[in-house]
Amino acid sequence: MFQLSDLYLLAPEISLVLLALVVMVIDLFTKRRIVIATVSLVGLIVPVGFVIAQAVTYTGPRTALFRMLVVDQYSLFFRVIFLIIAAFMVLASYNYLGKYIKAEGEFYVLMLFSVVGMMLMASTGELISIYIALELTSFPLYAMAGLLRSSTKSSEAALKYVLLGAMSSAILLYGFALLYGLTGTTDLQGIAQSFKSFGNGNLMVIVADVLIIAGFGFKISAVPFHMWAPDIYEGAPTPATAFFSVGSKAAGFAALIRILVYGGLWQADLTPLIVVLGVVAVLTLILGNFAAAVQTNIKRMMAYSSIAQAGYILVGVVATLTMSQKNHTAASSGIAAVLFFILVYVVTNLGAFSGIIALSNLTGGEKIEDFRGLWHRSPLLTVCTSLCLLSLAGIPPVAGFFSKVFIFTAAWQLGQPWLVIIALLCSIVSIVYYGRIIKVMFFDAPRKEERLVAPISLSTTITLATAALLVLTVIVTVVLDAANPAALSLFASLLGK
Amino acid sequence: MTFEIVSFVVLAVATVATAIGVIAFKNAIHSALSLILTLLFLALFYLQLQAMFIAVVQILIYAGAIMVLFLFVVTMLASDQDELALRNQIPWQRMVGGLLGLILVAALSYLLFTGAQVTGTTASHAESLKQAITTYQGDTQAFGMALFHGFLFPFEVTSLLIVVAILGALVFGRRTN
Amino acid sequence: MFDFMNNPTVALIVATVVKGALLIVILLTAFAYMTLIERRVVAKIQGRLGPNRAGPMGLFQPVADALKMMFKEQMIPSQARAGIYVLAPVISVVVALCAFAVVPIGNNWSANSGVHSIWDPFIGDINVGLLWILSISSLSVYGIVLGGWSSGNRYSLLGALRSAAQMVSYETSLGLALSGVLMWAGSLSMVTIVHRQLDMGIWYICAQPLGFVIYIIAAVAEVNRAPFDLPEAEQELTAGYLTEYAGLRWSLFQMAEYINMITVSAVASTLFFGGWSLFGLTDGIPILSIVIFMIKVAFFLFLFIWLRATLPRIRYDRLMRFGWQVLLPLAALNIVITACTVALGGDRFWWISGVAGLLVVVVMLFAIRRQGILEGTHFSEVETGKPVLPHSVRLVTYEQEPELEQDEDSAPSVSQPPLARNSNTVQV
Repeated sequence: MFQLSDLYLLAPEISLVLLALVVMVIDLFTKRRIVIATVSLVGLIVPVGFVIAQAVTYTGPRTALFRMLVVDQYSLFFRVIFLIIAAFMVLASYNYLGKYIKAEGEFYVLMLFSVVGMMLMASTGELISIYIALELTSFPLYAMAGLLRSSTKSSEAALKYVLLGAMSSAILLYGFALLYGLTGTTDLQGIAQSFKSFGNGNLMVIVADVLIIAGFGFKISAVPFHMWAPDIYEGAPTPATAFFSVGSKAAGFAALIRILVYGGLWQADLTPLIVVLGVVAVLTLILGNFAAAVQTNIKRMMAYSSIAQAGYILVGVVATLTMSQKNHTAASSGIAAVLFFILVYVVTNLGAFSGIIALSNLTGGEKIEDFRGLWHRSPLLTVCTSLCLLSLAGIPPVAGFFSKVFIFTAAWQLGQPWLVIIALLCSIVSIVYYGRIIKVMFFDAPRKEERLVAPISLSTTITLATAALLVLTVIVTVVLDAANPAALSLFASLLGK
Repeated sequence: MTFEIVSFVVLAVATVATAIGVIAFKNAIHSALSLILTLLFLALFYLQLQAMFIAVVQILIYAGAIMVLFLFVVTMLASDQDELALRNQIPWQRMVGGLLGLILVAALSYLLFTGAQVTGTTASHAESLKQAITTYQGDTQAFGMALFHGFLFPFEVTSLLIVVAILGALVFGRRTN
Repeated sequence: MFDFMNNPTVALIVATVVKGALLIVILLTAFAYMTLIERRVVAKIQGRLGPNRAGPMGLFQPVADALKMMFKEQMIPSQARAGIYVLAPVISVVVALCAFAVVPIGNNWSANSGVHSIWDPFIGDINVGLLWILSISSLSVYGIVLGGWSSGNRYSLLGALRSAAQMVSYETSLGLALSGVLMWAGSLSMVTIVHRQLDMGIWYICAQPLGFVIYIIAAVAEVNRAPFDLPEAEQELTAGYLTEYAGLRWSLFQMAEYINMITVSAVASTLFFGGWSLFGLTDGIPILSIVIFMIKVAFFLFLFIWLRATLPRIRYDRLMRFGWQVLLPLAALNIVITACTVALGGDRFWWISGVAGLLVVVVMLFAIRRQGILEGTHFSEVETGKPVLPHSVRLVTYEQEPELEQDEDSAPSVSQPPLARNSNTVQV
């Protein structure tokens, strides 16, 4: 039942936990930030190595620990994404920590533990494990939101985050409990088997689905569960905000898609599920984009922008569910587009956020007007940030364009043309507010003339992010080649039986 | 059978009543006491389901440990004021919230009584659970086998969760400079 | 007339009610006489006489006390929350009485573990008996916290909060200390634990010395007895949570405290000292097993009184530090030792965990003593052979050997006591 080789499947997470513990111990002995950051960054090589080794050697899904641990292409894809986040976060937060936060070691430890939780969320196939991993992801986020001890806004953000997070967890658990009550098992494979035998019209399934979607809706900040995002994004330390906007969201989608697709919910009553998710997607798109357009604080704007981005991802999910009963291979193209979109979103958002961290650090303000004329004062940062914003808007040369195209074409082909049209209109709105920042940075007159020199770690981060973005643009097909089997692997275990 | 139904109804009414008390009382300590009662009634539910171990652990952990800390904090902080002076910022909020809650309850109960179907697989899962209890002689052993065998993975992750929670509490609890 | 007893369910209920009533009577009587015994024993230790006027040897003293308490005025302070104020002592007593329900106070009447009768000397043999005791006694803190809060008095509130913190802290060590026994017994049922000790041929004190030491220390703290009676430290908090209580309600709290004391003593004898068993002596005569159990419990009760008369009260921060930094890690260590022995050796190798546990106890004693000497809070009579007092203690009078008096004036604060030849050390 339990073999030592099972631990190898878990090796990336275990090594990451060890890394976090090592950092925690080092933090006891030295307060030098450079040591802690270096150890964290170098230590990340081990889990990355394990993930690469697994990606190369494993072709099909493996399960271990009583089918609770599922290592397939899908979870490997997400593990890569989360490790990228971890590496970027170590770099991007380095300067900010020294300047504003006294608890540097704790920040890294919390961040690493949270990443462990995210990786587990993507690689479990069982409801209780998903819930525990979700909490392991969220707890550090709550603490990170309140790390600015002197700021009341930060404390308020932490408190709001804890309360709403607990609330959403409760709703999620309610959904899980209903699923368990219906099927008698918490194993997603077992649930999928049970759903094969359910006929249409089992209304409890819909209730369970809705509750689960509501629970994850908080994590991915989908409308109407988005209220927390702007306040918390604004109050929390900016690196933590960057982490929330990519990590929590990607992990939420990883688990949601795992439950909806791998858990075989599409085998039961599908129409209401699609209607609910579709309405959520449309609301998210509209509200996210239009609210972002009227913000003056850049962190609030990025909050609404990340809400809007969740809307695009939801479009892909809805499209997949529409088709999954008829044609698995076609349906999986929707998931593949979603995976690609999430990867691009993570890299872009991290880049944009490190640009914002750097620029607001240098200018000392978080209002959009504080960014006036930065082109004349810090050209490299301005160009990189603008590229990331362009990618978020989906302007052609950059990867963000492709990711949107893939989602829209997939959704169109899978039979959701209306969603695509709404999403297209919304992305036109998005060009307005992303463009406004770029315009302010390039064409407005600067307040002061002196040059701004960004700290080395931040300029490295943003350069790396932009470089990664450009590389992604070039190797689109390679990434898609990885995303397609990842998406298919969600269906594989069901088809195998 | 009738005894079971009667005791269930009595317990259910008591539990819901105390649970409503938690949110209805103005005094925080009365709310906490009401919550303790709710948790004790839940333990009785477990007892009714023959789950002795869970029932006792429910009392030990929730009523005996967690709520003591709640009461600890509440008595220390709210000992002076009798009623929490909460400003009701949005006047219609409470009404809309209550209405939505009622709708949820109505929808859930409607669906529960009309929509739920127990399929063959569900029944077999429940059967295997009963089997496990008889195999391991007593619910404590069955619970232990489930926790340390089948659910080993989330159990171990929980320990990480606790480490993180302690770390977070430390970060917040530490005096600034 | 007793036809209804033919129905097994009815018979069980009747038997349980009767046994429960009997047990309550026994516990309350024990409480009443415990107060007398405690006062007499403490008086003996302190060289006084103690209450000896009411009846022969003062035997009617509890009756007199009870009468006095009953006729005292039942006051409710004007600043108190009346409902909870009245309820709190009741919670304390009810919880204390409930916890005793699963303790087997004697062997089965048939003296055969296989044959059960509804009249066997325990109220219920549930398969989570030990957890039942732990969980119910964890509720006892509510009586104190609510009593302290509802009194509307700062002293009461502070005493109650102290007690809550103390009980929660020591509960963890207490529970962990018992889990070593569970590993050996493989059961949570109190009855089964006694029988397992009979099967193995040892008392678990032999296999679990460390667990026993931790349990006893934690238990003293759990029932708020000296030297851990911080919640009612009179120098600091008047009478702690009891400040505003008087008369019957006050004696209800006292009753709860003594019943809790009896319960932890009973658990200690059952878990570590073979319960009602005594090397097969009780096999033939079940009634003898009850007597033996009572003797064992009485020993622990005497230990509690002895401790109270001997040890000074520990300071609050030290109490918490001791609980979290010494007891809890030791309890975890005990679990590790026991788990390794049980998993690798089995029943025959109980002595390994016994020796290891004893070793840890001895090492810890030395370590704590050394720590005390280093911090200057401990006697160190190693150098000269005569007692050296810590700097923090000033003496008003100090008892000395008469023959040493004339040539001994090195101790700075020794004065010649004209009267107090037999007086104890008085600390200022």
